Amino acid sequence: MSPDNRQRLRTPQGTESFFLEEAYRHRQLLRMTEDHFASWGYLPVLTPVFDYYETYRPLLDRSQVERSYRFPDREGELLMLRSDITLFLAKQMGLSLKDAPLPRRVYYADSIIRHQEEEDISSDEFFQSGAELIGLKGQEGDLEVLMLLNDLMDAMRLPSWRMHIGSRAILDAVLEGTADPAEVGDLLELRDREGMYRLIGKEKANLLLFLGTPDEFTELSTELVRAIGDSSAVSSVVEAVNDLKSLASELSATVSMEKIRIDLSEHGGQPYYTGFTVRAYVDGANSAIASGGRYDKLLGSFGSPSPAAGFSLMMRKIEPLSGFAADAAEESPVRIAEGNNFTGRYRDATRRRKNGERVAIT
Amino acid sequence: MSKPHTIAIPKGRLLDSVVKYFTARGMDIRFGSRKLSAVDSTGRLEIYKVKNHDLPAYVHHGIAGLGIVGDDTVTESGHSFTRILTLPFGGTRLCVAAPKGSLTPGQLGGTVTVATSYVRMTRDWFHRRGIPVKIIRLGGSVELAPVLGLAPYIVDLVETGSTLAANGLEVVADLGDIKVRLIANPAYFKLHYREIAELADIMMRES
Repeated sequence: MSPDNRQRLRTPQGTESFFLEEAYRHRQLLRMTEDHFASWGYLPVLTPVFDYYETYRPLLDRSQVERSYRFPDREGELLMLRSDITLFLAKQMGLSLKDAPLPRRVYYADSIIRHQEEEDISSDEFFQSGAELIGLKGQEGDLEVLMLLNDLMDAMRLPSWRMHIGSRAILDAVLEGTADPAEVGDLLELRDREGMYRLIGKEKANLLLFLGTPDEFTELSTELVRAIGDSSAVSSVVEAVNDLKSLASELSATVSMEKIRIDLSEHGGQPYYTGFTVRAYVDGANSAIASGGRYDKLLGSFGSPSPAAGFSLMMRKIEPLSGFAADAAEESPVRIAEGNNFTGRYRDATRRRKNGERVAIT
Repeated sequence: MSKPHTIAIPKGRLLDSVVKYFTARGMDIRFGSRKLSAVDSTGRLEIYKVKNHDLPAYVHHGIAGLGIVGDDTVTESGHSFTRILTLPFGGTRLCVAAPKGSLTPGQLGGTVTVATSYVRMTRDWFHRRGIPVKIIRLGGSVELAPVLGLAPYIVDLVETGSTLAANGLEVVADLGDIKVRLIANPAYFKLHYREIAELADIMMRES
């Protein structure tokens, strides 16, 4: 290969292509998730690949800013490539839903573009599919989103998976303006007990680091909250804790509690979350394969103050682990048509395709 | 017994301490000749011996669910991990050092030239203080840089300070303590937190 050709075959960091069987598996899984969303009454939305950076700047934390690709347009306006579908979607929904009847249910399947460190070349967060439920607040909406995610995980036939449900509302109530939520959030992500003790005290840290079954949460949360003290702020903590207990209790009516953990260190990661948060983990994936939660104030930033909740699935992480995707690729091999000439093979292929076979003419 | 935890431990200065620490708690580790992996005597751990610098990559990608590593290596890797335990050995300090009698970087004024292997932590420390810095990345033996005139300041790990003193250097600023920790891949932790808590309990026992 000539040096010129080698130059042409370089790929920029963070990009990926996938082909043939792998792409087929990707499409099959995507089609299943889209059918699933549609069967729950969700409609598709497409977001722009880039938008004005200033629109989103107040909603981005430092790491999101660092990871976003920005560039000036011909008039000198600063643009940003789509690095978070929820944010871009919130603006589109804010624009289009001002006078629309609520609730609205939407889903998407798209790529995101953000910088990754060299070691993260696995780039498996770059294709996301997800759903947003707009205009339905409270537990009814939370349950719909969590059940939709639960049903999808079952349909994908993933090996031993678990949903970790947390609450941004509990984090905000516990901190009550006494500490920077972003700083506490960073320590919570690390589950850095020593750092948390130093920053907000042992009692608050012990509550926020709770991780256990819903039954354990019911059993222990009262004592953990009591240990915080009797300030007026505790009543909002109690309220947020009770909301989460109630959510878990409702979920237990339909979901195996083996798959659910209450995990108060799950605060959503993004600053726009306001209520429940969720991440899903599966054996074999090196990070969460789904994340989401409730963000009741985000759409208000774009002129449509509607409550909303939803989740994103990291499709490229899921594909190699999904039993559905594996079977879909295996069950449908491409056959070659039979016949003495092109017309004969074309007719044979047409007939067999009607029976669901995948048939190539030659 | 359930599947053993996969754990990456670092070659180099921490290896002997890590092996002794586990052995003292009943988990004897013996690597065969030239072998880079082993299972401990209780069958609780499947251990991979990796280069210190590479350890975060193995844990980040989930090849090893757990790892033992210093804060410096984690920070320089740019990855985040669940912090399970702080271990009682291998702790050190990251410091700015310069020839004896030098001004501190803040007193100097203008751009400070620093030679270091810890580029990310050095950049962050100087930026947080608003001190302009030019960083020269070195792979090791950074004490030579001021001696040979490559850079007037270095940022390096300091345990006893004897290497600095031997090269006519002294600490002029402290960037912070570096601790050695048991870390976990966050997803691995979420799926195995009970078993990891049991391991942590054993590791916290007095030997």
